[in-house]
Amino acid sequence: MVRLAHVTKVYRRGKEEVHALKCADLAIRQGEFVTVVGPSGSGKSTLLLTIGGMLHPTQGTVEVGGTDVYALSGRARAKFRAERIGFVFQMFHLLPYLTVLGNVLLPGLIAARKSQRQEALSLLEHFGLGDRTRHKPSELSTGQRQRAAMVRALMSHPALLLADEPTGNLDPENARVIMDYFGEFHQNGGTIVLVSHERLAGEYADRVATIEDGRVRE
Amino acid sequence: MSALPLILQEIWHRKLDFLLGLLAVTITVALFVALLTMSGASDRETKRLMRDMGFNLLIVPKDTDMEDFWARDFAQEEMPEDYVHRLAGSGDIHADHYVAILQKKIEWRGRQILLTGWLPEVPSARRTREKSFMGLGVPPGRACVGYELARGLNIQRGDEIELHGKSLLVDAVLAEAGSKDDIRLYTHLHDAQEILNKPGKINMIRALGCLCGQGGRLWSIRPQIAEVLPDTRVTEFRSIAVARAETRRMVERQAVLILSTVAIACVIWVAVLSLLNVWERRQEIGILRALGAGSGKIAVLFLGRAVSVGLGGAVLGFIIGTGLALHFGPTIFKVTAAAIKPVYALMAQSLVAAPLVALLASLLPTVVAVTQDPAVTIMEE
Repeated sequence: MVRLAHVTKVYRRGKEEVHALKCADLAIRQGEFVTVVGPSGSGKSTLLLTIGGMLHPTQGTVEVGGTDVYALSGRARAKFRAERIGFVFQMFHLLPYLTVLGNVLLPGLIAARKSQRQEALSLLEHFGLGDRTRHKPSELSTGQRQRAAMVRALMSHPALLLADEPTGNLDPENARVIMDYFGEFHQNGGTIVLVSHERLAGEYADRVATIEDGRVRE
Repeated sequence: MSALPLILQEIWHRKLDFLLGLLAVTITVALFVALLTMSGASDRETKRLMRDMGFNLLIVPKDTDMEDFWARDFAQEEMPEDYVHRLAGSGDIHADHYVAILQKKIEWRGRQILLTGWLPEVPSARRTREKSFMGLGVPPGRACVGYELARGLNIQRGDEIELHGKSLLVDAVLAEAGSKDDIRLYTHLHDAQEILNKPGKINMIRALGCLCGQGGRLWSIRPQIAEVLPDTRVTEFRSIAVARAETRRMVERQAVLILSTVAIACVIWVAVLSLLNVWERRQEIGILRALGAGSGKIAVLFLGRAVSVGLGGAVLGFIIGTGLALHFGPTIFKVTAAAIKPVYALMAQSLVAAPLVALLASLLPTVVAVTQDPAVTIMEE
């Protein structure tokens, strides 16, 4: 499902070069739940965004579902992302001016899919947000915001779910609830790559990889 | 992606940002609309005031000794009265308000007076609309007497006077002018010709050079008149002509300066607000990218917002600008107050120009928005 071959990512800040990924190799099968753990600044987010087609690697190739992601044009890559990949972030990144329902329907609007309102409502119900559909993100608890972000990620029926520290801002109880939803997506055949520095994430994974100083080890 | 609901919801969410942008465009449009609505009245008023300064062109027979002319106040040489009709009949000369004059200094009741025979203005062929006539319209058999002359000879309005055998009724005694006009006696041209025994003759034509652009200045009028009347010479009363030209140019320059300053300030204002909006929404741009939105879709969100600011500002600006013009215009331009009316064409122009300006002002911030690295903004936790 996901194959990274010799992926290097170098950030340049003036004359300084920061090697966020150093010749990273990683292979993930379809339906696999892989957690990548590592300390802050180890390159976890860079790895995730590189897999998600949002961060062009300096060297190496990234394949998702057999497609060389960075061989696609910018427009084709955006379409690929909209159709195949779901993102869940630590900071939720819900649009503050849209309601919960509006945020959840956003991927469908971007991809110009026909109305997914009923599907969105039933998913929100399933995630315990049935009575929060008209609320703005600022009116939700952090746990509710993360659940809304997760529903948004699932609305495009992604084959691959990429999660960047999804429980990083949650209390243990809400973190457990969110991880249960990830587990449910996995049990339904979804592939997950989740980066975290928390032990809890590893409990749900089929496999745990570590990242340190830009190098991925299994 | 239907962008409109997203644009409207974002505007509603960041009302203050939107209102500040709207304010900038509204002020600019209102100022443009107010000034342009009043510009017709202003132009007419300026023309009227400038015209009241008098004629600025003098046409005399070619052989006139100008030194002698300025010493005597009239040309010794004469030319046919028909010349004024030939000038007025030519549509190619940038001048208007032609008046044929026969003027001589004569002795009357033991005094030196200036007898000025004045033919009522001959309408010009180049007139495109009705204009009021300039100068004194003295009917035949009547006379207008200068202030000092009337005072010295105790002449009153309604008196009958006899001038070299010609009986004339005093139509008016003129107010003190503080110039040679105070010893002048105006009659109809044909009466003067009879008094001076110069039938069909005049010795000067006065006219008003039109100052549409530079078309009315002497260097361009002289050859035009020479083509119609080769045996005449043209002199410009420079002080009047320059005052007219400078006043009109100054008014135009002031308007251009005010409007361009306001327009530039508006563009900078809207651009800065747009840039702040992009900065505030950089994580949103990142998430939209993550959800699959391309550069075009993101640009539509930002440019659509700019167009909304422009459209709102155009409508409000037109209403406020027109209101200002209708309220204050008649106080400023008393003579041509009735000419100040709403110019609905400005509404259409505002609806095109204001969104376009707002769009241009937001272009750079939008480029910043679509080119910034989404990964970097998303990682800014």
